[in-house]
Amino acid sequence: MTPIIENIDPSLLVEQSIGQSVTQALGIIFFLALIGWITKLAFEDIE
Amino acid sequence: MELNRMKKKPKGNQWLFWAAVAFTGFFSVWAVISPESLTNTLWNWVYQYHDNFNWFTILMPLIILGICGWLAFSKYGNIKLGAADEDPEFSTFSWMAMLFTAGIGVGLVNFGVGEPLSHYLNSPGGLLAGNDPVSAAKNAMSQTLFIWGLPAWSIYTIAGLVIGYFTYHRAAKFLPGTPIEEGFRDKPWGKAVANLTNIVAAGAASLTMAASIGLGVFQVKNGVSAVTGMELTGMTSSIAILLIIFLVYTAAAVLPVQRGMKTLGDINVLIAVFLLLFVFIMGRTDVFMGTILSTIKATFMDIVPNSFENYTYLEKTWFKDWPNTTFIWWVSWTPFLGIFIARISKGRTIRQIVTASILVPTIFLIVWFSVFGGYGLFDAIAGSGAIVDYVANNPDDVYLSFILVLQSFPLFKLTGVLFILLIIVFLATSATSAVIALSMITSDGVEDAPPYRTVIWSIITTMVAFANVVTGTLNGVRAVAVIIGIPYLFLLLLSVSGMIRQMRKDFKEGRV
Repeated sequence: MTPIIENIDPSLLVEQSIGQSVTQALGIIFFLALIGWITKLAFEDIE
Repeated sequence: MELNRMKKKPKGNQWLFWAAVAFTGFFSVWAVISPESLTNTLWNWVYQYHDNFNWFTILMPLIILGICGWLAFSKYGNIKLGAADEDPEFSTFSWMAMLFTAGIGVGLVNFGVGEPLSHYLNSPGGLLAGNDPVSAAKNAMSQTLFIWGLPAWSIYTIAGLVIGYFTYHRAAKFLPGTPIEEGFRDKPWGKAVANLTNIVAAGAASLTMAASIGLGVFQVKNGVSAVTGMELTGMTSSIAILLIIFLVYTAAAVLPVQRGMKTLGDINVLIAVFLLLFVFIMGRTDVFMGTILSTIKATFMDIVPNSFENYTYLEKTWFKDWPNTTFIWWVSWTPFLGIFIARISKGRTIRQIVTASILVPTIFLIVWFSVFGGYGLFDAIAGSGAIVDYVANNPDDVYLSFILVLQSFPLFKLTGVLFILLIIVFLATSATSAVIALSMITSDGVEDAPPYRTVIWSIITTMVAFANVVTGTLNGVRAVAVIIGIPYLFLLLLSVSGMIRQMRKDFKEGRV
């Protein structure tokens, strides 16, 4: 399919494998979990 | 007992000192032996991070700004860094001058003209993406202040607060790892993560500074060539310039902070303000005033839309190279800047620190970029276009566009000399704060570290800068500084988390 805008991100035109998708998703989940954990720690009392 | 304590102390210092030297040495040796492999490997990692997590990097400063605002205007805002009856150590002018010159430093001159013009050309709202010149110019100022304004100063401020709170309020050590060690003292991993933070912080401070000094040497050379008409080629002139800068910042660093840093900071602000007023008065003042007005709007109104824009579907080279990389670069500066801000902010409340250290530099930067960048944009739209042509043709060397602006006005012999002086003093100020912080980190966090440690770090940082100047590997060292900034961002967020838990505890127990 021809891109409809000129300066489109070229990486979007390359098909992503299932492996790449899963790795990317796991990376993002880990990242969000890390941020969530740091936030949780802030509101936890010091023992 | 006392003797044992004294015997043990240098051991601890030496361990941290040598670990930090080894960390710094590893990357600088790699930079000298195989600059290409270092540059390619590290930039590849940085880009992979940007590809996957640019949505976080772009949003992160707004989150930090929100935390700063919450701290300043909540019940925690009245907490003073220091004893309740303690007066500020420095006058407000000197405090602001030191904050400003150490935080932004030579970048103000490096990017004052080149950055707005680069965004004018290359950003998705820029000329090359098919936008009209006037909207491209407004977008350029909006992006410039998004990168340099509130986000940058929020990051610096929070870095200063986390260390300041623990050192002045809890009598803890002046170390980047202190907020983690103290805030998570009930966790088994607290001490280990704090040690890691100290080592990474020392490496980041030394390498970031070495890259800046190396770049500054090239700038001074080019400045001297432009002012005198002499072509400075070869290594002798570079080494001579490096030696002068080294002597200035080593002297400033070993003098008591009150004298060394305060004098440099004051001189710097006076020169910068003189050049600013000179161009403001001699140039199109009506255009500058209009640019200032619209940039104030852009700074405060566009921060939210810009923080939620990651240009999905669009080609992201500009997005990764400018906002993403620069935000991480600001984080790389926080290890030493945080210590420095904490060091000079004794006796001020959290509310004062947050409001002053975020708003005052941002307002100054609005005026600075509106005048210098504004002149470049005015020249692009209604003038000869020579400055924007230079930026378009020299994308890796946009720094010199600042000289082109000064050359457009009379008395360049005078303003050119002031320009060179400004770079030297800016560099010296940043380098001074870096080596003071480095000697504190590697001296177990004592407030006034022994001068010999300061001199050793001065020499190490200058040696790395020297190796980079000789081999031309600045981009490699910059890559190291950026790559260190990525994990350090999480260590910074963890430090903020540690400070919040400590503040909650102190408040609950009536200690603040």
